[in-house]
Amino acid sequence: MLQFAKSFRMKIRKITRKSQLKTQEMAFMLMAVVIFFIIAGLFFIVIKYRELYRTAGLFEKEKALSTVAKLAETAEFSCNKPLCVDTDKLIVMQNRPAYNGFWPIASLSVVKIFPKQEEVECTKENYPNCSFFKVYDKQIENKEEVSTFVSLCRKEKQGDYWYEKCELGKLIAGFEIKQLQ
Amino acid sequence: MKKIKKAQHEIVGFVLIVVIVVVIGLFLLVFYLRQPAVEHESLNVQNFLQSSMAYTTDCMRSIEPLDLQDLIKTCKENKRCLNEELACKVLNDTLSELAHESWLVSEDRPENAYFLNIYYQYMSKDEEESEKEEILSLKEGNCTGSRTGAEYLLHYSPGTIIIDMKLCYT
Repeated sequence: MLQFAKSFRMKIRKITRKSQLKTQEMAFMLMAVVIFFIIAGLFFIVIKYRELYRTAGLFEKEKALSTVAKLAETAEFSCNKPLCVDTDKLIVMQNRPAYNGFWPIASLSVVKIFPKQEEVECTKENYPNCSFFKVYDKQIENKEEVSTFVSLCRKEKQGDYWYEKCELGKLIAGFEIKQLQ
Repeated sequence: MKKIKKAQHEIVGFVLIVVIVVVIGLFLLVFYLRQPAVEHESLNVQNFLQSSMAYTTDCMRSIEPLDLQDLIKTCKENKRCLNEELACKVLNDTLSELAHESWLVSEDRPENAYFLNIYYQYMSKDEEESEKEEILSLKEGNCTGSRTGAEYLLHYSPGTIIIDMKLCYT
C-alpha cells in the first residue's frame, strides 16, 4: 500500500514537470510569434511613415507653387489671362526700390523656356531679344527657390497690325529659409 | 517509439505555425504590393498645360497667328495653315519641342518620363453613346517610380477636347 502511494506520487511529479516544460515551450513559441509580428509591424509603419513624409513634402511644395502662381495674377504682372505675365510690364518693374518689401519673397525672376534662347538678361536696351528678367532681389543667400510655368506675353507688331505674342516661361520666387537661433 | 512519435508531433506543430506566419506575411505583402502606384494631381503640370495653351504658334489662319489651343481645334478639323502646312504637323512639332524643353526628362533627373495625350470626347446626354477620337499622342523617356499629372479641358461643341499629361518621377 505504502509502495503504491510512493509510485503514484512519483508519477504525478513526473507529469507535472512534463506539463511545465510544455507550457514553457508554448510560451516561448508565442513570444517568438508576437516578436515576429511586432518587427513586421514596425517595418510596415516605417515604410508608411516615409511615404507620408514624402506626400507631406509634395503638398508643401504645391502650397509654395500656388503662392508663386498668385504672384503672376497680381496687377503688376498680369496680362489679364490666367497664369500670364506681361513682359512689357516686367521690363518696367525691374529694380524698383519702391517695391522693396512689397512681396513676401526674397527674390523674383522670370525665365523664358520656349522658344529656347541664348542666356541674356533682359534690359530696356535689348528687350525683347533676351531670355531672363531679374525683377526683384533682396540679396538673401539662405533661400529656397520655387518655380511655376507661366505664359509670357507681349504686344508685337506685324505690318500695321498689333497682336499678342505669347511664349512659355517660368516664374521663379525665392523664399527665405528661417533658421532657429 | 513513443518518444519519436511525440517529437514528430512537435515538429508538425512547429511547421504548422511557421506555415501560418508565412501565409499571413505573404498575404500582407501581396495586399501592399497590389495597391496602385501613388497618383495625384500636380499643380505644376496643371500650370504647364494652362500656360502652354496661350503659346503663339507659327500657324496662321488669318492675320493673327494661332495660339496652341486654337491650333489643337484646327488640327481636330484637319485643316491647314496659310502656308499650306498641316495644322496637325505644326501641333506635333510645336508641342513635342515645348514639352521637351520644359521638362527635360532623363534618367538622372527626378522627372524621368512624360505622356501627353490629346483626344476629343463626346458623350450623349443619357451617357449611352460616347465617342473618343485621338488627336495627338506624345511620349518621352522610360517611366519609373510614381506618377503625377493633370488634365486640361477645351470646349469643342458638342464634346470636349481633353489634354491629358502624366509625368513619372522618382
